[in-house]
Order: sequence, then structure tokens, then C-alpha cells
Amino acid sequence: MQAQPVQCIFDGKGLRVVLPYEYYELKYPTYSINIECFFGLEDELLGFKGRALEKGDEDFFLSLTHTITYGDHLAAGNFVRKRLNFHPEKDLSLNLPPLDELWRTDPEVAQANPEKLMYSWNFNDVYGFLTECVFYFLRYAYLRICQITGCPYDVDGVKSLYHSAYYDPYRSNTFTYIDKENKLVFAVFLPRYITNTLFPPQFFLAHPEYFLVVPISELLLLCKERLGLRYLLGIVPNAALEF
Amino acid sequence: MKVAAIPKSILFSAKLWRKFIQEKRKEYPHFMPFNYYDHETIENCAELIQPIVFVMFCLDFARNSNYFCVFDTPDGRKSYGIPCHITDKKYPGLATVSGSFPIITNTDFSFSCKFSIPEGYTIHGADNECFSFPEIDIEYSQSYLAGLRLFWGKEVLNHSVHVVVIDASKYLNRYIPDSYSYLFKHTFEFLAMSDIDELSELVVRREYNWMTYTYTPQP
Repeated sequence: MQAQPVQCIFDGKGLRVVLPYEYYELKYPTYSINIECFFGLEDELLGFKGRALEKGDEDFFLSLTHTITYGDHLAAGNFVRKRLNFHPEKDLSLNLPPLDELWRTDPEVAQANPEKLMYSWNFNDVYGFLTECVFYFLRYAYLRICQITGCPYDVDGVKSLYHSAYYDPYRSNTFTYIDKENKLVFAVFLPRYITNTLFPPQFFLAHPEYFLVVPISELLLLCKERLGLRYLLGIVPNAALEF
Repeated sequence: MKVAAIPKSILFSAKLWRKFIQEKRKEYPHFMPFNYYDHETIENCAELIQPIVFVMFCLDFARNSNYFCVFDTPDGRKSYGIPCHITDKKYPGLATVSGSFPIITNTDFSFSCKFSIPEGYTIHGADNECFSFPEIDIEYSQSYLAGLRLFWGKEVLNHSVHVVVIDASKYLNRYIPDSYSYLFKHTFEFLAMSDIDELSELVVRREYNWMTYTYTPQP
């Protein structure tokens, strides 16, 4: 259950999470909840080669994405409540689970009763929850990329991510959309000074085997079938002016 | 038909955008007119971005803000709104608007126009006698960049799409408004329909802020 994506339905009143007893008699299409993070540079986007994410040598990724599971819901909340106990040396030696099983980092979640996990979900503070999830995912994804690529791990950069409002759903650098594969997506475009803090230009430019830099104006040629990228282009001009 | 367009190069660089506006301001101290180009000539030009306005008709802002009128398009698809170019003048039978950039704040653009449903578009599910929208006055003023929703185009993505929502309840019969409600579909109902047009689908998937409509049932 921890690894199962949270499922939502639109039932006429709005979007709500599917409860356990409904699983066998669903009448509506289901939607998963996802987060997507883009890393902005001056007039470019920082992307990642598959090797930087342990996803093969061929692929490249212009965003980091994560589907939220029932385990993530509890783990993200716990993570933020524990108030950021960062220890750079300790962090870098952590044996992290794969990014789609981040909930394993929290023993309480790993041992939680599946029914309890499902019933604990609510949408009373969806903005707060998604903010927690983005931070929780970004922190681990960043740590993992640093472990794999050797990029210097910037603790202050991670802390500033938490204390900033870069993924506030009301800011011009965030947006939502519904993917064609029934994914409800909350997307965040991180401004260049955050990207440059986490990934120093001298490092990513020296490591083309892990990173790639794509001029944003050229993305119009790449994005026709990729909705997240396509909608990102709609907010970039305004977000670039604001930041 | 001549349509408005702006250079693509200025859109994706804050520096170039500011420089472009500053230079235009020297020439036009109060507002900056669009440059207009022959539509056929630039339709597939990747270097010029044509702003288009997608006009949607909401059943009722206050009560049913996610229900919009569905149209049958000239090519037999279903549309959730009417796309129109910004043009140098009114062209009979076409949905067009005229506009300008007031450059007081560097980023705004505005237009006012009389908008009517173009030839070939009909309200889906309505018989001809049932109901039609009259000519509508649209006053629009918003940040050009903040109002930009997505890029669209048949061959190349060279149209910037801006959404205008009209409160249809103003134009429905005041005494029996619910009698027309079947002509308006919820976002999820629209997405489930067959033969929906590409631009409508793209707009809907972006415009519907799903976070706003989440809820937890009370036990």
C-alpha cells in the first residue's frame, strides 16, 4: 500500500481520494497526483542525462517528476515536521532507496498499517501538503544526484528551498495541469539562482555526461507532445521577469 | 487578413523583453501598437508569435464556474471556446479582436471589441431557435505575459494563447437560466467527449486548477 499511487476521482462534487472500500466498485476514471520540477537558468533549462538519475544512458530529462504514493503522504509530513536535521557528511553517505520509493526513508511509514495509511489521507490542506511533498522530493532527488554525479552538496541551498516560497501554488512560477494519462500535476519552475546554488554552473558545464543545458526558445520544437514542458513555456516569460 | 505578431526572440528572455519595450517606448510614449502581418505569409513562421484570444462562455461565474458552453466547429469537432486572432480591423464572419500594448507597466496589453460567434460555429446540442449569443462587448486588460497560457500551432507552435471568460448568465434568459444549462459541460465531462478539438483540450487541461476543487468527504 505504501508504494501505491494515491488515486482520486471526480465524483460530481469535486476531486476526492478514493477510499479503500471503493476500490472494487469504481465507476469513475481515476487520477494520480504528481509533482514536476523544472530547473531554470538565465534563458535556458537545466536537464539531466539518464545517467545522473540512474535511468540508463540514452534518456534525458528536462524535469524531475514524482507520483505521490500513500506512503509519501505520511513520509513528507513527518519529514517536514522533523525540522530539517541536515548533516552534510551523514546525508551524503545515506543509502537512499530509489526515488519512486522515498517513503522507505521513514521507518514509521514503512511499518504503517495499510488501512491507516489510506484513511489518514485528506484534502483539507492540499496546498500545504503539495508544498511539503515538493520539498521532500527535491531534497532527496538533489541528494541522490549529488551522490551519483559528485556535485557538491549545498546544505544552505536545500535549507533555502525549504524557507522560500518557490513552490507556493500562488506564485507565478508554479502551475497545475491535467496530463493526458489522467495525472493531476503540480509543477514548479525553480528560478536560476536556486538552480545555480544547487548545481554550480562550473560543475554542470564540466559534466556533460550528466547534465544538459537547453535554450528555452528551442523548447518550442521539443514540447509538442510533452504537456508539462509545453505549459512551462507559457509561464516562463512572466516568471523570468519576476525573478 | 492581417494579424498581430511579436518576435519570438523577445519572449523567452527577460533582458530582451525589457530592451524591446524600452526601445518601443521611445517611439510610442503611451501605448505600443502591434505590428500586423499577412496571416497566410506568417502562419508557419517560427520566428513570429501570433497572440490569439480563446473566448470561453461560462454558465455562471458565481454558481457554476466550471461549466462552459460547447460548440460544434466548422470541421466537425467540439470546441470549448472560440479562438480569434488580433487583427488590424474587423473582418466580417471571422472572430477577431483589435488591441494594443499600453506600456505603462511594461507588460500589459488590452483590447476592447465587439465579439460575435463566427460563421460555422454552432452551440452543441442546441437547435437553431433555442438560443444564441448576441454580439458581446469584451473589455480585456491584463498582463500580456501573465495571461499567456500556452503555445499552439498546427505546424509550428507560433501562437500564444490567452483566455477570456465571458459570464454567459448575463446573456441567458433571466427567468429560466437553468433551461440552458444542458448546453454547458463541466471540464471533466468535456474531456470525456469524443472529437474534441486540440486547442480546446490543451486550454482545458491547463486552465482547470484541480487543486481548487479537491475535497474530503465528511464521515
